[in-house]
Amino acid sequence: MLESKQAKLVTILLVEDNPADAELTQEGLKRAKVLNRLHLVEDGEEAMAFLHREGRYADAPRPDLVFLDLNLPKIDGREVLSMVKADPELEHIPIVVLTSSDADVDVMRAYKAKANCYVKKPVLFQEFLATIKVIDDFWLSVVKLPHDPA
Amino acid sequence: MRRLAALSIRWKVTLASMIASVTVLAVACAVFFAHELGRARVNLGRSLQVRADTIGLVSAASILFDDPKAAGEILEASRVDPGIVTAAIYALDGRPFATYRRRASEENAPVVALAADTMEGRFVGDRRLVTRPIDFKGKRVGFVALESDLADLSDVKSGFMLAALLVLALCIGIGWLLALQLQRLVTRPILALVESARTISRDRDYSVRVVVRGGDEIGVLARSFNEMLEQVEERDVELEAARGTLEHRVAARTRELQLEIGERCQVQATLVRQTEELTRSNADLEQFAYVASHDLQEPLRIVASYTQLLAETHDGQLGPDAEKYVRYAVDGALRMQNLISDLLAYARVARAPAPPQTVASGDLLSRALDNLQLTIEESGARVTHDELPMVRCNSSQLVQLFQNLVGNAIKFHGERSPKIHVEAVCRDGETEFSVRDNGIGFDSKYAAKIFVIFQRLHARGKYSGTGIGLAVCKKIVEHHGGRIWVESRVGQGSTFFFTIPQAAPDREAKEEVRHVGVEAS
Repeated sequence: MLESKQAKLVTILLVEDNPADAELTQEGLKRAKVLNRLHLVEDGEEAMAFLHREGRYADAPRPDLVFLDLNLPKIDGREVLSMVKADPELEHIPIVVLTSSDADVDVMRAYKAKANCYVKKPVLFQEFLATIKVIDDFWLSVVKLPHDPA
Repeated sequence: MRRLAALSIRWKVTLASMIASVTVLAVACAVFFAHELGRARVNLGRSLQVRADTIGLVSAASILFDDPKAAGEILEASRVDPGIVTAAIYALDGRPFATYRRRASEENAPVVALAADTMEGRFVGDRRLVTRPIDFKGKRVGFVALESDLADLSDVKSGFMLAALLVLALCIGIGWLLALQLQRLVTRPILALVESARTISRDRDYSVRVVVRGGDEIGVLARSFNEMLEQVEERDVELEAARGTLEHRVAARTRELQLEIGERCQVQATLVRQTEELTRSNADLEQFAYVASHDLQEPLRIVASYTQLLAETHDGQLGPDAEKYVRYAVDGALRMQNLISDLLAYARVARAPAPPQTVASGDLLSRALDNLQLTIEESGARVTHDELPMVRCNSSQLVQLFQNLVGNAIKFHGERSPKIHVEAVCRDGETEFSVRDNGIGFDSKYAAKIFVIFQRLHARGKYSGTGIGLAVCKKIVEHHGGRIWVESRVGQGSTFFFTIPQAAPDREAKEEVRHVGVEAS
């Protein structure tokens, strides 16, 4: 039912330094049966390079949605969030903060930095899958995303 | 009069005695004068009468012989007396027989008239008249009349006046000198008193004494004055001594205070250092809390998720044992996660001392029951409560407290459906709450132990939980300055009591609402 609505291939950028976590998210997306092309970067610096299409990401597509972890090497996820939301070229891209942290301070700071939503990863795999599915349904099917002319 | 009042007492006394003596003297002079004058008059009358009688005696023959010339010569002899102004000899029929005038100027003046009625003489104006009968051998032959001026009297008067004035002047002089000397008897002690009083008031020297002379009233006054001075001096000495003592005490107290201030400064410095350490350790704790809530959960989640994923990808290929192991691994991870979040809640109690508010504790219980709604519905528990009072507390912590206690009561229910009753009494400046249940209860020897963190009375398989919930309760109550205890018997339910002081100590802190994990949930 959802696939029929989402005819277009969705590009997702996953910023996650832990390969195990990255794989879990990939698995989740796969099972959610969302037609997507997932790009994985491992730190904030790479994430910014990808978004700005610099260096080896010169030909990178503009993502429709970003899954952002907070604790990242080099450039922290919180800084990435602030930089993206301060950049007129990128600010429209919805950012889902997907993290293990349930610290109040992180939640507050993320929303203050204009995160589009904050999701804590559940411990149980089944719950995690369900969460990913809900996120996908919402962001990739329910809401209308801005169309990038580029 | 005012000038008189301003006069020195010395002059007042002198003047008073002078006025008295001069007055007395004047009165004496006047009386004496009057007496002298009267006597002079009598003398004058008497000598005139004698003269008239003498003239009468001598002139009787000339009357008998009708020789007015001889009578005139006899009268002329009156010239020896300068006082006689006119004189006349009258015949029996009243006819003037012979006359005499002292001065021609007196010619016009009538010669003294015969006045038979004034045989004794009388004063007319400034004159004295005297008429005497002339008898010869017992037969009256005529009358003689004499008129005298009062020149003698005036001489007496003026002489007396002069004498009186001289006496008066002399008396005033002597009286003045005497008064001047005598007034000292009275004024000297008074003036000495005045001088002493002046010296004392000027120099504030209370050692001055007045010399006491005599036992009169002034002497009494002087003695009283001296006694008063003695008392003042004694008091002065006492005062001086007291001041000395006071200064000594002030100095001593100042030294003590300086020492105390020094000590306090040290204490304060220690406090500042401790506060800094506390701030640092709080920051460390904050960091720990963050690590716990993020970094510790991530590996847990990976372990749990991949264990499950493993089981799923090998669905049906694992033996029953392997599936059990997977379940254990996942349970362990979940329990670890609960432990972490409960530990965080425990740590937060002390870190979040929100300013105490005065709130209705009944409302707080309602909030706790709302949070427990699912648990209550599932267990079919009945939670009742009496009217609950207003309390000064951190409301979110008190909600947590109710939630943990009621949650616990539900969790440890027996075979009967759980019944929980909350009530409160106010006594001795604190509010005592109780949460009573009809659950399984426990042996009262564990009553203190169950509030210790990680302390559990039951196997994990039977009742879930981390063993932190009641430790959180204890910490919340103690954080409010209260006490918590429990009364219980196996199979008879438990009653948890806790107290909240009615005027909780003010704690300065920013309101920081945090959600604290629940053991019961």
